[in-house]
Amino acid sequence: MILIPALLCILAASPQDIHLSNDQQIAVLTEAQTAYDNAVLLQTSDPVASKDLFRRAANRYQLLVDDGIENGKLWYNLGNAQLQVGEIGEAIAAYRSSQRYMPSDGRLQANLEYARTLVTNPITTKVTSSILKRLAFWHESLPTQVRLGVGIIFWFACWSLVSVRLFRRVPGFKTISISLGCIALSLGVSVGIDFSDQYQNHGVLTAKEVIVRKGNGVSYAPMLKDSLHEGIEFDIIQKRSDWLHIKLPNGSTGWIQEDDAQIVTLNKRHAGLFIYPAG
Amino acid sequence: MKYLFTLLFTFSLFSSVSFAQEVFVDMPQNQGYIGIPLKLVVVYKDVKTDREPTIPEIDGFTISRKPGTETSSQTTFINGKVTSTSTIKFTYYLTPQRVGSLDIPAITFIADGKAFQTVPKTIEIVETPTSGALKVQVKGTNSNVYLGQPIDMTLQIFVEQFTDKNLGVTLDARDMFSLFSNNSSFGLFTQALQDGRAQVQTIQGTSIEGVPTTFYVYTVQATTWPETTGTLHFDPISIIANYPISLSRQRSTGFFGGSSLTVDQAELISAQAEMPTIEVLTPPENDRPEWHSGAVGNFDFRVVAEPTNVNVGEPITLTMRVTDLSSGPVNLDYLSAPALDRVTALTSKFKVPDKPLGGTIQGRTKTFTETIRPRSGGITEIPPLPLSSFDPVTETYTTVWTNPIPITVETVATVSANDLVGGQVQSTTMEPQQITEVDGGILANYTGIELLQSQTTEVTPALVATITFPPLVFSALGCFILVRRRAQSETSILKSSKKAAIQTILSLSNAKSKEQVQQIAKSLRTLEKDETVSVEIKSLLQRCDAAQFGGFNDSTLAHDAKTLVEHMP
Repeated sequence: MILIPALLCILAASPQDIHLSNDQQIAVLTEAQTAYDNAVLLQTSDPVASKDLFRRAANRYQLLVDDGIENGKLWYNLGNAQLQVGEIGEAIAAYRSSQRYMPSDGRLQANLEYARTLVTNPITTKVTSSILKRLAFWHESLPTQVRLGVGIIFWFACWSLVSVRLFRRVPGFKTISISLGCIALSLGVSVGIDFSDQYQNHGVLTAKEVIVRKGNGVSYAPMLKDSLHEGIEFDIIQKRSDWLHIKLPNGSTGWIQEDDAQIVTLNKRHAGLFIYPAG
Repeated sequence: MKYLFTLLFTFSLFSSVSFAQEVFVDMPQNQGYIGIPLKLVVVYKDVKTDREPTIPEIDGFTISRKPGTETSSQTTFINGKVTSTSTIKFTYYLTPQRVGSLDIPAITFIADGKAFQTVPKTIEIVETPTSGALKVQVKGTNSNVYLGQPIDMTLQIFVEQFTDKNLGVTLDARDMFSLFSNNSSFGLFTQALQDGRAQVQTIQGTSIEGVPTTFYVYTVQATTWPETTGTLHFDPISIIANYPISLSRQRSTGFFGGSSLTVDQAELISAQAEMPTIEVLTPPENDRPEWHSGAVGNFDFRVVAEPTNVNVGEPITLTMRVTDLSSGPVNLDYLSAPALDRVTALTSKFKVPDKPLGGTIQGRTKTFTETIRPRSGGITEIPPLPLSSFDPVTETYTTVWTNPIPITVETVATVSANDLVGGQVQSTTMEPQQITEVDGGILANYTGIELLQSQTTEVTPALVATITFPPLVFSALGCFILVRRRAQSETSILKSSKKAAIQTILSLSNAKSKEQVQQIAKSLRTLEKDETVSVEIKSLLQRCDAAQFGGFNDSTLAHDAKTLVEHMP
């Protein structure tokens, strides 16, 4: 008898997913941009009020992101607002998300680099400049959508040529068709890697100081002599309960608490606005 | 079972902590009457919002908004941990227009970057009962008051005394009061009634039928403070009672026996109070000090500054205590903080925020805290600060001044923009020709509506169809060509076999031996498919059979076959 109302209470407390209407999205975006502009105006005369406005702008951009809008420029603006507030880790995570959609954007690269310079005791990356990586420079410099579009064009061209060859002789058929096919296939593989990679988890430390441990619990000894600082990026090897098994840019691995980091991933479950039921 | 319940309870407790922000609707009624407004309160708990909630049109109800909002805040200290709670309430009245089950749908409120949704509710609406032996009236002490001045209101409920002539029993005032329905609305008198501040007296009057009778008069007094100027809006007051028609006596079955009275038959009666019209005025503009922030009454004003030794730009916290010196009930919720930003003597030397301040109330004192920052070095005192209030009795303004507070302000280097995270870097290069781009800082935001367009690339059915379309077309074309080629090859085989058969027949001059007849028959069978000469070929084949199996020597068979082949198209 007692269990039923208790269960109902818990069910009523479960959040549901709904989305903002177009008008609401425009209103939130306008509010965010206005807050950001006003914050820039007050940055020297009233830093406290300016920071509050940057915080408001960041909250509004975050609301749009949480609503499921995946847009490179939106992530970029969110990163800017977070960086102005002083949240270096969150800002780097936002810029990393923005990179997914506009990897070669100059502003984004500049701000991401600047944010990385603010990280205390950064970890240097093991630079691997293999020939394969050099040849596939376009994989990281072209957005997924562009590579997909160009790949489809080459795919159509390749098959059109092969189809024409059924009816008549085409000079240089083999060379052209193999070239077209290879380009289409390369672009396809590149897009496929992106598809799989966007659900792979990367992350950025957001806590001021993080102790990397040898196991998934506070009872495990620290893995590193010094604690790590906000803004350091890593790859996630495994997730266990509230702990993440991470791989740092220098190749070291260890465990951190999930609350100390922000995961950079395109996770559909996070799309949508939380609706809290009320009485 | 107990363990599971503990788990669930712990979970629900935990979730309430993690979801501290709340927006909910307070509307306890499940039943209503046509024309009698139902109160609906939208409560924003720990949610900052500048926007008023929007209630959509609800079928079967007319909706009106009570002007103003109720705000409250609470700060608790537990084991050194400070917890603050703020609440904003918006009040609406839903007046039912028809009888039946009326649905109030789920309403979504957007506030503080989140969306909150209410649970739908159904309310049973019935016909409004007649007034009968019930009458209600509300009186106010004044018809005009100033904003911030208290208003004393009196509610009087007249109920005809009930006497059951058969039993010879008359219900007393307490019993009659207990017959009031829970669906009654007592408006601003609710708290006073809950506190038991109702007084009862008995008066003589006449009933609706004109018969002299006794009435119980319940009198309740309450004090309210107007929140906005203009005509004062009160919560509607409607009283509903189950007025008895007859009583019955029930004997108790307990050890001591005895009996108790119960209402045997009752009718539903109701009455609504006509609220008095009270105009809320703003204090006059004549002689109003520029720093007057709306205070009405008589107050004491004291200020403490901390610290008193600071550098330029560093904060000095002013703690301002305003004490109400009037007698009677007091409500300092609506008392605004002194408008320091309008005191020129202060703003010329200090940076004073112009944001409205909240305050904490303790007894008759409200305390405000404000932070000011000295603009330059060498300032030796905080000038006297004023608090002006309007006295509604004398209708004049009075100002209380604090004493100047001595302070010391040291000069320091100006705060540079580069000290701030992401601050704009200003170039100080003297020669314009040597323009050097400065590293660091962040670049400007993107703007425009395209920020709302999602750029995700997903494996959709359309994408799969687009990719599989070219190979499918190629396969279709390949199959078509293959079938056509195969068809072409069958015709050519037929042609060559026909040609060989004709040559065989032409090469034979006679058909004397069985082998020659067999060759002719085989060639003819190849040519049999030609429909133009099929009859002649059949005749020749019969002759071949006769020569082959019947021993008949056909001397003209070879010649006739040759002739037929020569005339074939």
